[in-house]
Parts: sequence; structure tokens; C-alpha cells
Amino acid sequence: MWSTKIGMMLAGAVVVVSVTALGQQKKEFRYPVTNGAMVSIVNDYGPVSVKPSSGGNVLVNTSTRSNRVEVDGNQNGNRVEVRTHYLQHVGPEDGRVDYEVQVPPDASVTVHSAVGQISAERLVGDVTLEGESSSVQVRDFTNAHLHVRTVDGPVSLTNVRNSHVDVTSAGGDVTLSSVTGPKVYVNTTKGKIKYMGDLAGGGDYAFTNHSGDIDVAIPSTASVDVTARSVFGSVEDAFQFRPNAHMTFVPSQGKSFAGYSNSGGASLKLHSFTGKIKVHKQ
Amino acid sequence: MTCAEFQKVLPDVVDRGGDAAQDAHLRSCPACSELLADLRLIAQQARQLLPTHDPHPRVWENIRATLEEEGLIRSAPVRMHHLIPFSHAAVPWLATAAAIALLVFGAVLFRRDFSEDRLAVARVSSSPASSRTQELTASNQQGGNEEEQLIRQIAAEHPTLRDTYENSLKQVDAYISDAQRTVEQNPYDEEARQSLIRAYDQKAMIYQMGLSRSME
Repeated sequence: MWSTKIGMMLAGAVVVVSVTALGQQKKEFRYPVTNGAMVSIVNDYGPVSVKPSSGGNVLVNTSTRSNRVEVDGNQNGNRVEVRTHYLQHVGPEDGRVDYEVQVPPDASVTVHSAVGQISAERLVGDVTLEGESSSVQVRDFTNAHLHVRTVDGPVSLTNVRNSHVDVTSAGGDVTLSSVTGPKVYVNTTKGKIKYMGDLAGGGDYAFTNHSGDIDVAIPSTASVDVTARSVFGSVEDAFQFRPNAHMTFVPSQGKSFAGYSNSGGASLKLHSFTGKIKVHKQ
Repeated sequence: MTCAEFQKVLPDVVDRGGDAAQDAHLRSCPACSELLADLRLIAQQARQLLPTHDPHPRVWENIRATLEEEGLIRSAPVRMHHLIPFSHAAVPWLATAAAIALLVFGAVLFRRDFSEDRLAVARVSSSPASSRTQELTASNQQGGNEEEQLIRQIAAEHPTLRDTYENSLKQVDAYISDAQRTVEQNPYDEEARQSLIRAYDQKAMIYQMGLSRSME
């Protein structure tokens, strides 16, 4: 497969363009940045993956499938924006652009998508990932601020430690595995919420939805103070928490419970309207 | 007498009681009756909060100096407390009247924002043929029109996303409806109020994403 390459230097940025025989256009953007860089990626169709870079550069590799789209990059100081630009009305297939992004680990990153998969790993900065139907996968974050918003795209967080986490999804299921932090908030309308972890660090956890089920699996060594309420659904305390001596509401069998285990370090609030809430041991 | 006419004379009714027409209105209007009861309670509580002794003259001096510095008064230096009737016994009453007037004014302004809804609720609940659903339907209609507009806008630019937004908005509206009902049934339940806020957060998120999308 032959290809042609054109390199350009634009005010410190390097853009390399190559075209394959199949008509795919690949672009590589390289932007030198300093601490506290801000990176924004806008791409409706196609996957976006974000990983840490080793040097002080933002590196964006894109691959387009048709000539109806192009990718524009722009840098203003420490702020970098790379965006897919649609030259005509396109659909998910011919409008698809694949992004591979590398950023300094502490960069502030924002990714907007419509249906493409968004994945991010090993970052420690302020990260916002949002998309209507995009599936969002995040792994191996530490000390980060993570905001995820989808309309009905599923969300999966794995090994996100000591981070501020805020997930809002109207219809997407949210799965958290080994997620801990000072604040971990998940709010869905009909998406299921599933948590597997130890709630380490004594943080503040709140999982709420309207109609999805909430399933929490924690080890017997977890130190947690839990309240669970389902207005029209049901709750099940399969963990067998000890009852609190002083409660702010009167528990109702099958509809709500409150209790603690070990020293009650972390606060866990579970609330649903019609969903079933279950807390059990791993 | 209508509620609007009654509320115009509300401060007088709080202080001195109502005449025959005002009393008759109170007997027939639970919203105004409740409002009057709340304001009387506020006024009664305000009296108990006021100090029982006069402030030191230095306090008035400081106030006067500050007002002159800011150019709010230009009179010749006059001790502030001389502007007040010599009878120190009158000061607590004046302060009481001022505090009550401020509280009543603030309460009336606050209530006025909700009085239309409360009157609508009173009318709805007092009518044997009406239902709470009618009021919710009326208020939801306006929101529904905005939602239709948003969905149309998104469908025009991104047809593949239309169903996503449309279905999600329906689900979120059901969430809000359930949350509102729970708050009405349990107005002092903090968790119920938080649920309503979270439901609206969901809707706000969808609107924000949709508007951003439609402006691209």
C-alpha cells in the first residue's frame, strides 16, 4: 500500500498528512505544550482513545474514511483543539474518523462525541468525556477529576483511584469496578448501576437512578455507612449491615434500610424510584 | 374580593385584622388564609428577635460617618440618635415596625411568585371535577413544546440522534414527575427534594448537550 506524506510546520505545531491507496487520510498533529495543557477533541463518529504521552507534547493521530470530512487542529498557547469538520451531511459510516490522542498525564482533557467509543486511561488531570450514545471506558486513573455524561451510552470505569468522579447518564448503564475517591457520584434515569469495589478511603459515594437496578458488591472488610431507599421498588441487604443507633429516617422493610460495617468510614447512599437495590458481599 | 385585591391590603390585615369582606375572602380562600397565617407568625417571631435595649450612641455615630463617607447623606453633622424621637421607648417599636415591614414585604414578594400556582392549586383542588393531573399537564405542555423544538433541531442536523434524545427526554420527564409527586407527598423529606434536583440535573444535561449539538 503506497502512501504520500506531506509535512508542515505551523507555529510550533507539526502536521503530517498521508493518504493511503484506499482513500483513507491520516493526519498526525503534534503540539508542544507545558504544564496544565488543555486539550479538546470533538468527533461525532468514530472512536477516540486518550492515553498519556511521555514528552511535553500533545499528539493526535486521525484517520478519515472519506473526503466528506476533514480534521482541523488549532493551538492557542497551552490550549489545543482538534475537531472533525464535516464538509457535507454525513452518516456514521462515511463520517467516521478514528482518533488516537496522547496528552501529558496531567492535562485537562475534554472529548465530545456522538456515537463513537471514547476510551481514556492513565490520566491524572481534569477529564470530561461526553457523548450521546458513545460508550465510555475509563481505566487506571489516579487523583483525577472525571466527569462523564452520556444520554444513553454505557459507561465503564475500572481502577479509578482516589478521584472525584461524576457520572450522569439518562439511559446508559454504569459499571464501576475498583473505583474509589473522596466523591463518587453516579446519577442515571433508567440505566443500571453496578459497583464492585472496597469503597476505600472513607469517601462519599452516591448512586441514584429512577428505574434501573443498583447492585453493589463490597468485601466484608469494607468500612461503610450505608443508606438505601427505593420508593416504589425494593431493597435487599444481603450484606447484613449493623443497624445505626441513630437514623435520620425510619427504615421500611423491603423499601429502605440503613446500617454500617466496620467503622463506617465511607458514606454510601443508594436511591431509586422503581429499581431494585441490592448490597451484597463480593 | 379577589386574591389580588386581598394581597394589596395584606400588610394592613397582618397588623390590624381584616374587615368583613376580607374575612369572607379568607374563609373561602385557603391559599390567602395560609399566607396570612405565615406572615403573622413571621411578624410575631420578629418581635422576639429584637434587642430590648438601645444601642450605644457610638453605633449611631459610626453609621452617620459611614453614610457621609459614601455620600449618601450630606447634612451637617448631627448625632444620628437625635434624628430619632427623644423617647427611647419609641425606638424598639419603630425597629419592630421596620423589621415587620421588611419581612412582610419580602414575604409578599416571595409569595407573589408562587401565588399564581398556589391559587391554581386551590382552584383545582376545590373543584370536584378537576384533578392534579390537569395542572401538571398544563405546566408540562410548555416544557413539552420546548422539547419538541429541541428534538426537531437535533433531527434536522443529526437525524441519527433523534430517537436517542426523544426517548431519553420521555424517561427523564417520568423521573421528574415521580420525583415531584414524592416531594408533594413528603415536603420535609430531604432525600425526596434531592431526588427532584437530580431528576432536573438529568434534564439539564440532555438540554445542554442537545443545544450544544444543535449549534454546531
